[in-house]
Amino acid sequence: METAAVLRNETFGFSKETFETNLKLLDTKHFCPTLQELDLETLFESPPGSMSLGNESHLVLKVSDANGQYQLNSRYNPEAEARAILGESSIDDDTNVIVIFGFGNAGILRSLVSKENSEKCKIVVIEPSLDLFAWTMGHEDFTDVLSHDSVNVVAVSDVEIAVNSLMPFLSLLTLKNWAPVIAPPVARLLSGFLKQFVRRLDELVAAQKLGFATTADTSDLFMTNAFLNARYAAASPGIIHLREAWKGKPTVLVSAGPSLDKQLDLLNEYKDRVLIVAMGASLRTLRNAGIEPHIVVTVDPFHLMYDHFKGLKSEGAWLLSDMAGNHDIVKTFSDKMIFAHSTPQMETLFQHLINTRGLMISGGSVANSAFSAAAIMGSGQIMFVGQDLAYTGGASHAKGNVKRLEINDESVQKDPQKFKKVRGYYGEDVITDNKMNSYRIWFERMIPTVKGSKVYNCTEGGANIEGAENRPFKECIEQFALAESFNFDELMNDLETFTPIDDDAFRKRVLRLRHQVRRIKMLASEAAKSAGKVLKGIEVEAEDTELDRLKVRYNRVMKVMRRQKTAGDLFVTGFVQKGIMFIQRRQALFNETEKDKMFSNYTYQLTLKNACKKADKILERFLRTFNPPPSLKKK
Amino acid sequence: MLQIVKESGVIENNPNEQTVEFSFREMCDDCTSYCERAERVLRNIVVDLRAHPSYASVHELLEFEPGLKWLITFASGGEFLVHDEDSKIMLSQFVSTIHRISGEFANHLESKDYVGLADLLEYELIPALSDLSQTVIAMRPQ
Repeated sequence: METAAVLRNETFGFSKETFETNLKLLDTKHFCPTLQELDLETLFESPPGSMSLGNESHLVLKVSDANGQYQLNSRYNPEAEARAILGESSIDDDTNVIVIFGFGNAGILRSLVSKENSEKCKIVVIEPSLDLFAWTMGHEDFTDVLSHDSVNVVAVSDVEIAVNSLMPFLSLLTLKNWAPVIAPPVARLLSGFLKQFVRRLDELVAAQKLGFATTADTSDLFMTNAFLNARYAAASPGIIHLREAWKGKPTVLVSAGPSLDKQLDLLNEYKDRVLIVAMGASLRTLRNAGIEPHIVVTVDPFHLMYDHFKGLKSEGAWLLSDMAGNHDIVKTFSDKMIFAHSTPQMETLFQHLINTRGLMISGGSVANSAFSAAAIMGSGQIMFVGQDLAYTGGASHAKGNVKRLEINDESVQKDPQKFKKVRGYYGEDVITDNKMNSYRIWFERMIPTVKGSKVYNCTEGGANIEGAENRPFKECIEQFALAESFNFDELMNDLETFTPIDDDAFRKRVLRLRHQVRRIKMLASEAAKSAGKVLKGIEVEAEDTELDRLKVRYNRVMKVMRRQKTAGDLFVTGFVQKGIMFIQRRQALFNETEKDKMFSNYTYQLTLKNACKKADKILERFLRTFNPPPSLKKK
Repeated sequence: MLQIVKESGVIENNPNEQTVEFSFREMCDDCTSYCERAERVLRNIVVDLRAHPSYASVHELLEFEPGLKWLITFASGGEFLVHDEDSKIMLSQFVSTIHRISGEFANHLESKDYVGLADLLEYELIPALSDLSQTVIAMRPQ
């Protein structure tokens, strides 16, 4: 060892060979997209830090800032130092994801991977100081940690990319518990980055929880609604048939935020010269101001959404609904409808029933979906009004809205987890909540991807939306409104690519779907029975030959099941989503024995069987009472 | 320390060696007791500096200054009261160690290099205090 230490001392310094060795591993196993492009010559001329060898021939990194030069790690015992830092972290027996900020000299990383059962934990190293990281990579061969299965290095300086790279490791399906590890000198080095990182991570984790909860709890409501609405969708165009139908022309997306009130007069003046797409929640306010929008959008399946539409019928407006939108709204509001799906899976499933209707990418709010629709239609200018996404003037919605909530300082103080301050339209701080904030973030991510449309935020209040140009509504509408009024119905009647499905064809497709669902139910029942027998065999410690026989039978059923790639399969999945998520999580986190695995399989097949029963009931009821709506009969 | 003993007139006016040895013995006890207490506190400060440095830890560290000054005075004066060479060397080494690290100490404090400071305390000062304590125990009159 002494010889190795002496050798190391003699040869210490930046080595291009060592750098290449580390880089090769980083390229193949980790995420360091721009490391290759770094100019090594610049590093030689102006090293980002000083490197030396400590008492145990380990790397000692020193960096500088305005306060002076400081060590990133101890010159002495690296193991003891790592132990001290890890001892202060929140790592416990449930932790299966550890996030280390700053690669440093890999002391903490080495301490973690050397522990027993280290393969059960995922270790993510976030390193935003690319120069220092590259400099370090040239001073020591880190093959031992870079090739470790549990280690994932994310070397990026952009906060957004860093957070997005971390999120898959924090998936709610596989996460038990996670812990950050930040050595104090690293916190000093990365203070600016860390502040933004933590804020952004907080937002994304909240959005993830929201999405997860929605999916887990509402999938069978989505599926039921989608099926009931399919009768109407069969006779109506989809958003796909409106692709580029409004190319280069102006659209106003009207949301129900408190800032809507001040724009109503102007909107009324120009209502025939811009396409007005209203969120369901803003309909009542618009009606009271004498404005009938061209399109009213609804996406949520929940009964609560119907409150915005109760007692209201279309006076010319088309209803743009998500396939899984509230069925009462679809049934009663308008004879003129447009449909869209929010996920590719729903599109694939319902293609078998009603052909393609198109995707309207969802971000959680109706306005997010409406924005997708406006982009698909090719709108040249998309203007937001009433898109506060904040409690402007202490209110959540415009006056007259049934869902209007008012908050004050007291309500904010009482619930600090729910409310937060963000940058406002005019640069001031405004108060928002986690939901509205996640909708705003969605806009900020989507706006740069919409190349054919220029987005203007004409809300003149509320939260600022990065990527949308803030302009007064008067200015925008005067500049972009069409010279003459237009007739939206004429445009809709002229859609060339749309052909409705006749009722006979539709009924046949439903019958085929029901047949598929019944087959899956039969297979699930057989699989559950087989799995149950295997489980019992394990419990009573049956003979190996007998156990093998039972397993072969189970595997045979599973093989037949896996070959079922039909619409029925997709349809039933919607009813068993919560069960699938529970079992996926269980299998990812807790499976250690064969008995555990078989128990999960048994539970899943029973859940699937019950889901098939539910799905079959809906289809059977539909077929029994099949009575196509007037719009379908006319065609 | 020698000055203190001289001022008390013990050496010149009182040939009673027992009184001189008694005062020196007390000082030795004070020294070892202080070293032990200081080691304990310093180890805690080291843990704080490595894991979560704070103004409180640094403030606590600065409070050691008078104590360290006293130890230097004791070690410097003690050289004249002990007869074995080994003890003299150890005492002298303690004094030069403290002088040597005090410059580094100030630099680390100024640049808020808490890892460097922790290294200094854990691998230089604490071992020096421990050595001093052992030396004083060995030279303490019985």
